Amino acid sequence: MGKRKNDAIWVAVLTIISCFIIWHVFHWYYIGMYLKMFDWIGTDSTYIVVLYNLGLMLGVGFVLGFLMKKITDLVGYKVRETKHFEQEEVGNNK
Amino acid sequence: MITLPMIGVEVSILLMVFIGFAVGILSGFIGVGGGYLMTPALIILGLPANIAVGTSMAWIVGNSIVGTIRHRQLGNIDIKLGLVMIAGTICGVEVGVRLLNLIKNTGFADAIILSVLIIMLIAIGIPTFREVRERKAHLDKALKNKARLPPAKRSSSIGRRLQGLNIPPVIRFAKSRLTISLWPILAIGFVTGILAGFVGVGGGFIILPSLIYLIGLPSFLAVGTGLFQIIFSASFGCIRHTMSGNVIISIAFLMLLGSSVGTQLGALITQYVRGISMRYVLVISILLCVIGSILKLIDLLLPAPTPWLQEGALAITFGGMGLVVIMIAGLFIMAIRYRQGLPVPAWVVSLVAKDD
Repeated sequence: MGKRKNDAIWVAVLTIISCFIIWHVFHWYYIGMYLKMFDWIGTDSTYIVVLYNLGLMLGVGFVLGFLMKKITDLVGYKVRETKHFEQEEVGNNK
Repeated sequence: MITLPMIGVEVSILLMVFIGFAVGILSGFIGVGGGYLMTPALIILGLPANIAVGTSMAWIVGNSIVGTIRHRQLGNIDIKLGLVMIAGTICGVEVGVRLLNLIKNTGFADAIILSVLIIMLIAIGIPTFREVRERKAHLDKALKNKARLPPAKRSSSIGRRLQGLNIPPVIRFAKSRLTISLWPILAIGFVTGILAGFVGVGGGFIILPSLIYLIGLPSFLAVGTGLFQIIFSASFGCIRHTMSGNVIISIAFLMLLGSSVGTQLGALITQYVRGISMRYVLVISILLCVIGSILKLIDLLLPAPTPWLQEGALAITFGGMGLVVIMIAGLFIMAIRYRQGLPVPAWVVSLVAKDD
């Protein structure tokens, strides 16, 4: 499978996951689940809220981060590594 | 609009996504979590201070992951250094969250948090501004004389003293070309963590100048390493703030949707500009944040709410965010023009001239 096709599949999969997460958050907001979870804090169920909040942020961060990376790969944008120890030591070489 | 019944506040979905996008560009470009802009912005929008702090912290978790993924690709992360700092940071976050919970019910929480934020921003902003101004003058002079540019200072005098500390264990960080005692790194992580937990910032605006001026890291390596380290400090902070009932996850999520795009753009623009540009933008964003926070603080301390102060704080915080985003976009356009051999203003050359 070519790299471009591979990137396209990744973009499609990650987009579907992102859309699902967005739907899930709005759905839970509208059915009042977040309000219910807010009331769980300070009870024995606090750990569920902690795991959910952290998991959601970590999960969405990874999914969106990789989605953006794969989109730039797909459009053929070349990301070059930064030359940290030459950057400010070399003169104007326009 | 989205209603938050747990705190009785209504916020706009689009505004939240836009704020996330704007702060995300800044975050990706200068390598801060963005909490130091996000927390006052949420307070100004009417969220109670403790909720603004906790929600910012949750958002920073996701946003710093998005930025880290891109900065890793750019080769801007010293993972070993980041991991070593985390030990100090996590202890600091615990202390910071306990301090926040102590003042939460005093009735002065908003004023105290804003005061600490203002003092810290001024303490960081003034020396950074001086260094950046001096450095730019050097670069301008060297470019004018078509001479080799003066080598970048790898650290301040305090930094050289810290690096000279010979207290074991002394660790070698190959990626950063640095050999330093473990203790200064842990100390910087600890102080950063206290601020992260107390003020709701990931600590980036402390970590970044510390890594550049005290540890001696090149600017963009500091950007990526700072963001990587913030994932852990912010995750710990998110757990503690959730346990204290300070997080509204739906708001953090909306902001993350916007910032995931903004952070990518900010990180990619670092490829086109010199490290000093990043430090310039950092100083300007700190200045804007200080002015907005001072207005809000005056409003809080006055016996009755003053509409013009609230509107002023709102205008400076959000107008400033827009201004900084325009500045970064402007630098990017100038860098492209310079690379293509098109004319650019003389004062911009030292900010964008870079090796290929």
